Amino acid sequence: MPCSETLAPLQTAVEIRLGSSQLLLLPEKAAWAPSTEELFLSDLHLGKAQAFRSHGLPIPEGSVSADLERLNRLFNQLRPKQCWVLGDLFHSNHGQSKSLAQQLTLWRQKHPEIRLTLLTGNHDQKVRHWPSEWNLRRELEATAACGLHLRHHPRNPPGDHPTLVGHLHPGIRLRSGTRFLPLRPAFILEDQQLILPAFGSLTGCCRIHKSENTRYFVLAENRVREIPAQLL
Amino acid sequence: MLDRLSSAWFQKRGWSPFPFQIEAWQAIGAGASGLVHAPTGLGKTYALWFPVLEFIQREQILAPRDRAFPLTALWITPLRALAEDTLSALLLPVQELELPITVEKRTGDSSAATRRRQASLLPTCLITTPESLSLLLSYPDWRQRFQNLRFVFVDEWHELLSTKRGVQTELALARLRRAAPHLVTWGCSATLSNLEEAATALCGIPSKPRLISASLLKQTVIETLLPPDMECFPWSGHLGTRMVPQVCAAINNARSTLLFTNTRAQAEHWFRAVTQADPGVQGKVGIHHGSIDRDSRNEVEAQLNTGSLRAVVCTSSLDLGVDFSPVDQVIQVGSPKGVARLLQRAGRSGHQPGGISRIVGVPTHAVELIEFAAARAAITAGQIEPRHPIERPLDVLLQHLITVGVGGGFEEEELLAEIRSTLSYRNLNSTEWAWALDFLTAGGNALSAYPDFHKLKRHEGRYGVEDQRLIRIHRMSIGTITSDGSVTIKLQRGGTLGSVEETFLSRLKPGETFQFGGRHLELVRLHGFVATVRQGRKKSGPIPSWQGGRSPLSSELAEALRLQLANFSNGRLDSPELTHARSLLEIQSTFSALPLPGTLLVEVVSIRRKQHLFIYPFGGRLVHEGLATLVAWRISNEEAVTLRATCNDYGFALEASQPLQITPSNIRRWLATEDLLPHLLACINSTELARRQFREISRIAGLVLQGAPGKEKSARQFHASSSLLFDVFVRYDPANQLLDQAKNEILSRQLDLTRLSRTLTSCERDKLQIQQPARLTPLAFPLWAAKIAESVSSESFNQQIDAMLRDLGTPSDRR
Repeated sequence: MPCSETLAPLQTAVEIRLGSSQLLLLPEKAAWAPSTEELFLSDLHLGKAQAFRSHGLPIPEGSVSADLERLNRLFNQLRPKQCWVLGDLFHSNHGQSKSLAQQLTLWRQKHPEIRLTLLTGNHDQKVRHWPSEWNLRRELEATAACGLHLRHHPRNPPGDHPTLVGHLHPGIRLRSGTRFLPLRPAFILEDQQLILPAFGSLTGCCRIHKSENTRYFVLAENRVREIPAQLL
Repeated sequence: MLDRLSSAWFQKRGWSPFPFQIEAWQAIGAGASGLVHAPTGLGKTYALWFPVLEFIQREQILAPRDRAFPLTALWITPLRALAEDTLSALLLPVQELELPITVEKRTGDSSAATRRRQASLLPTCLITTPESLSLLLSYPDWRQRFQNLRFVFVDEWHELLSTKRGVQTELALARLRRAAPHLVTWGCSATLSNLEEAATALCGIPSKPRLISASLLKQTVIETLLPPDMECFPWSGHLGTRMVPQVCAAINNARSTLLFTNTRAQAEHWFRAVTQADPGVQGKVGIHHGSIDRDSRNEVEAQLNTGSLRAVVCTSSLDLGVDFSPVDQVIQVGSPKGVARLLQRAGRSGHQPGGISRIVGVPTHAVELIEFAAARAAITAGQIEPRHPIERPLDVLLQHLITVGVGGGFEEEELLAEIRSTLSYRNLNSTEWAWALDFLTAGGNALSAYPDFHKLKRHEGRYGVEDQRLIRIHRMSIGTITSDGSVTIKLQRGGTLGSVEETFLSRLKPGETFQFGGRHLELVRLHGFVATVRQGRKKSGPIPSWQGGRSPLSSELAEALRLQLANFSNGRLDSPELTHARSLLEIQSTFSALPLPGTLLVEVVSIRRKQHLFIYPFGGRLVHEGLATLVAWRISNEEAVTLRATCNDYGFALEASQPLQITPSNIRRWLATEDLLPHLLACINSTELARRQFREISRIAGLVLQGAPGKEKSARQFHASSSLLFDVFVRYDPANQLLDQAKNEILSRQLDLTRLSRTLTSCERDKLQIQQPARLTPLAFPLWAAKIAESVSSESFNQQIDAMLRDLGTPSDRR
């Protein structure tokens, strides 16, 4: 078990149990299984700004390095043995460029000891080149050491097996009386299925509406907070 | 010879031209440009059209041709629905005089066949919208196709003037003028107080536009339905359905009625109330508002025209548009909001030249009664609101640069000169211009150029767009009208009914019933941005509300309202409304005081042991929203106190958690003009507001693809929400000028900074009158009763969650 004083992000996290695993939902938009030292995140959509620009939409660059830097900080603080990306690491083939590939290679070289596995998402399928320097395994489905089932697409309805998924970029909008708060990314726990928010900073949010047997964990500035369903 | 054509035609029809029509014929015939302003329904169309007919007749004599003349005149209309009406009006003399002229329309509704035919041959006169005109300019052969253009007319220019569509029109007109230097530009407009500015915006710089006015004023009669029992008439509210029996009687007494309301929700409420109160009119009353599907609206308009509807409940969606000759009564429910607006609405009746416009006011609460008397006095005194053009919006400029780039390209200096010849961009500075070009050629980040970005390309000194895909996307997204996150309502068995806001529908469960477009609908399912519905079995259910569209009381009307109060206090009860409101005004002056011109009334009332502060600057709702937030912020900076604010058109209220020190010097300090801008920027949650404003800007500037959904399936992965883009720009390109534009638009449009500082200045000058009435006064009551606190929050996201959790009564933190 990692000692708690090194884990600044964990103090603002929320702990949940999923199946027999203990999971911490981090304000960095990732989940951490401390017992097996596994880190879970989803939907980075790297290369999105570039893909937009190649389609004539002038979007400034900066999100790739910011996102990888956020990932570096998590790696340095948590020292995971394994990092699972639950799909959509890349946005599209248009966003693929030499500089992005190099950036990723350099980043990977900083953490050679961490196993990195991608559960291929719909956007990843369009990407043609997967350099071996990235040292990246690709799977369609997998089971983590902590026993959780992993995939990109959520199951509807969620099955009985404890599962982690991505794809939706979930967000919620809080409401009370006449007050509305803006849409914010959130972790959604439907029965035994946890949907992770999108990790990438150039990704939007898809509004999740209230439904039964569901818990909501919103990203509130630098904290994760569970929100009662009445506020949705 | 020139005047003979028109006079002969008029004579044949038993009409005689108005002096202003003759004046316009002569001015246009002499090659001048300008603006005709006259109330609706006074023959403005023919004032502009005959010079074209005479021009063609003369050309025909000089060089006879057997085919129709090429494109000679453009007729720009702000409303697609108006195009059909204009078409038949223009064709009438053409057919009778047998001139070689074709007239056609080209709008977003035009069929593919029409587009194809017009692609090979444009008619002699083309009726079109600002958007369709920009689209025509985006084809490289436009210069050649417009080379014979001599006349361009803009209908209802006042409607376009203070909008981004107006700016788009200015830019297109500047383009046309360059291609056809002898172009004559004319517009027609309702009466405004800044006609010269309006004419300059239309005709460009430099120009000496002529102003032609219809000297005969169409007579407008304003009547008010007086509540029978004033003692029981509410002091607040906005529905006013208490007046339904009287309104039903009025509908039954007229052949046909337009019932104007101020909001779409109010229209739905009134439709329900009228049809329930009088079952006899069922099927004879229609409803018309901006969220109802175009086809249904067209149907209602057609039924109104044929006279098969007795009444239509409507909103500003029918402020302008088709001439409804059968309408003989117009009713205004609720505050008229502005003098020009009431005149415009009144003008919808008595639509024959020389007819009298009559409008019946229906107050929804007591003070509105006096607003109608005030509007009548303001019309008599000629105090009408101005409409100012928007000053150089960069999003519209970016869109225009791409349009010009797509439509054959441009040289920098030449285009800059052309753009500066518009009133809107006359002060466009070289920094802004360089930034706009750089943004479109290099991606615009001050720090780096993106090699993968190429929207506008520079080639041998000429800018243009080469990528065929970009050209296609741009043509699909031309325009400045943005529709926001609304949900389309579709019937299960097919057919679109209209749209509502997502927040409303997300509160409904499948199987629940709501009212829309006067129908009761049962929600079947909500999927993405489509709600599937079927005919509801229940005849009840909530009515959606729509954001926006609520205009504040104009300065002119607010001033007129205070003058009415002064009349009252001088014993001059010279209108039936004032006489009727007498008991109410007496209560106000006995309990407290009347907010007379030159005084600033402040009331302090303690209710349920909480102190309430009421301030009445009469600056309109927008200004009061800004002022309430500003004053609350200034107070909470001085002492630890929580303040909740509400506002309306007359003033604002602050509810304090602990008693405040209400002294004249404190009030003066809280309302000081000093440090207005820094304080305002500090106290509004400016980023949240800016994020909202960025939605419109990013769509117009082409940052968000807006084309027809489904057409470009592959484009789906290039959709990003404007709020996401806002964050990206703030973080990675903070110098982006579009961010500044968003901030400026909040200050100018959402908070109306000009009027706000003018209001504060007059507050400083006015005599301060602090009253401590024992109970709520007629002016204070509506502010106290307003359930929605319309304050702008300055709390953090976490603080707001805490407050919501407190309301729920749960512990705020489970950490």
